Amino acid sequence: MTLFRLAFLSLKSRGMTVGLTILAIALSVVLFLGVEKLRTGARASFTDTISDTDLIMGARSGSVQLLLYSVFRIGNATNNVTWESFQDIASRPEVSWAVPISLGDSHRQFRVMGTTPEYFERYSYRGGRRLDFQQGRVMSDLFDAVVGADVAEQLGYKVGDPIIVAHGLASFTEHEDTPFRISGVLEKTGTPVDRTVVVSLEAIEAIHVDWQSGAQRPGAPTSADRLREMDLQPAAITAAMLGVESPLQIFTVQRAINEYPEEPLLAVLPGVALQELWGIVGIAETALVGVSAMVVVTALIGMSAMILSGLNARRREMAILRAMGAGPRAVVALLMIEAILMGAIGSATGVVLLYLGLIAVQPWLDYTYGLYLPITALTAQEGLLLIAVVAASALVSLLPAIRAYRMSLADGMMVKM
Amino acid sequence: MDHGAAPAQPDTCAIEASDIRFSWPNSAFSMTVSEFRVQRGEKLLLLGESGGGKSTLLSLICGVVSPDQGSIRVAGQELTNLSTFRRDRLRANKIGVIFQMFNLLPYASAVENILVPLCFSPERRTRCTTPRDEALELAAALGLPRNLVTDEPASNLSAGQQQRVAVARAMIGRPEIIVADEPTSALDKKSQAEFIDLLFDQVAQAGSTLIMVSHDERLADRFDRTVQLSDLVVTSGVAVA
Repeated sequence: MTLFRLAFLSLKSRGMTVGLTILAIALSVVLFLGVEKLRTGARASFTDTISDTDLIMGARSGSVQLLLYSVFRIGNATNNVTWESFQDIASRPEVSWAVPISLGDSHRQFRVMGTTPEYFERYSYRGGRRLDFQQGRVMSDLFDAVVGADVAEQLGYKVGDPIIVAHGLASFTEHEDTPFRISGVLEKTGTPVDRTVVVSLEAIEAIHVDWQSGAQRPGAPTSADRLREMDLQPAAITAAMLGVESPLQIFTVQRAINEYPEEPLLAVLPGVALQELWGIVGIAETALVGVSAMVVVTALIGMSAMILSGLNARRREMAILRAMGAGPRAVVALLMIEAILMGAIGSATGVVLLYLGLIAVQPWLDYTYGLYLPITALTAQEGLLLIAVVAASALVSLLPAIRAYRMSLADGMMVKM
Repeated sequence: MDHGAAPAQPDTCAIEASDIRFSWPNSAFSMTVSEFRVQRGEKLLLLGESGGGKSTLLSLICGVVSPDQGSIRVAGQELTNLSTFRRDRLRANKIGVIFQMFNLLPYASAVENILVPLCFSPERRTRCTTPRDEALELAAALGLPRNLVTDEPASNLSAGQQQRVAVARAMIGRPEIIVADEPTSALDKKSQAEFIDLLFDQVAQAGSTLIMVSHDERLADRFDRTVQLSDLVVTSGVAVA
């Protein structure tokens, strides 16, 4: 028989109240760790979206804005980069590869991106993974399109299906005269690529041959065959992904782009721009962490109140222990052990619930939001956090423990009940 | 009635108190005890009603409270020189306590209740090589069915059974002194006699000193000595218990 066992038996005898208190602690721990996992998961997901690209180049705007529209397809470019400027930069000796991208058209709710076949070789995500095809292959004809996994799944597309590209975003004027054919469907990546329709740069030009200032030119549309014969070199692109020969040259190239005399351009390091983005998002994150920490504190205060309210009914128990030779300090220890037990069981339950929850929502989050939460062991920081919860349990139990100390000093071993 | 002044050498006394004055803080109640001695191995009956300073006297003997002046020696140790912690430890080591009723932790089984004192007393723990077996033996000697002792929470036991568990708990690790505070008052006549027999058997086997408080004069002839509480303790003010 030890104090620990006494505490355990005493808790067990008050199953309902103790259970609810533990549940409150468990849920608060789930919330706290869940927010933490979601936060780091979201960051990792964002960071994983682009790798092995040294620089992103676009018209001069904000670096976060450039990153958002070029990589995440969030928002729009304010300006384009002329083809000449792109060629000029791409032909610099330090630049090992350059993939232009052209955005601005859409298919249903998905964005259409014009690029070169090299895109499929250069784009990599999640630490160096390349794009794979679940069906078909890279576009070979002018009117070939490759669709991301979400596009194929949500619209039921397979290789060989025709698709129509609309001009502009959320536009009703579809380019019905130039139907595309799906040449390949990409594997799921958990990145915005899943929600993109990829065509060649020339195709973007081709569908705009008969269009001027956003409206269709009167007269018969140019036939597909004639379009195939035309010189469809684009006049401008939206942005470009660049690879540099040596990491040391990244800043040289970046400076050259930023100081490009012919037109105002901007080059950003994806990692640096992401950091800048976190700087903005960080405030919201801190608020979220703060709120969930407050929930943990609330649960612990609830536990303290529960112990406190039970004290009067337990005076007899304390008196018996005093008569058996327990000092007031043992009474304090008993209450603290109870609190620590509840804190520890609550935390452990919370961790179990968290992982069950993660397993349950992981596919849904990945599918719906493209947010892939890897199920990994608790980090050292999260472990420390759990220890902090248990330590805080001991701390908040001091209030009822000290009260019990006073009561047991006053009652001694004689309580009339 | 003997006035608790049996001539004896100090080290043959289980309890020896003199010139005690005590008052509860924030209370008008105060009491004095001029002389109180209990021989080792003696069975003493303290006769008196509640309110006569009975609980306070027991609290003083057990070292739960300390007198304002005077001296109390328990098992050869002067309590008034000891820190609170040491007094608690002395109580754990030397004294087994039996209350009037509600002796047990209701959520623990009887055998677990019997083992509680060992949790606070290293001395009594060393006397039990196999605590659980000894607890079960005690319970069996007190006529408690084994499954009742091990499987049921103490709250499921009858009043008589609970008092017998309390005896086993007081006796575990053979403390030198047993203090029983009206242990039979919650029992019917037949159970009372049985309970006293069992208690005396155990006390005799362990060679312990027994101090029992009761208001039942008929028990007097079973004890070595009887002391009227009113002769021993002089109180003033309103008793707290």
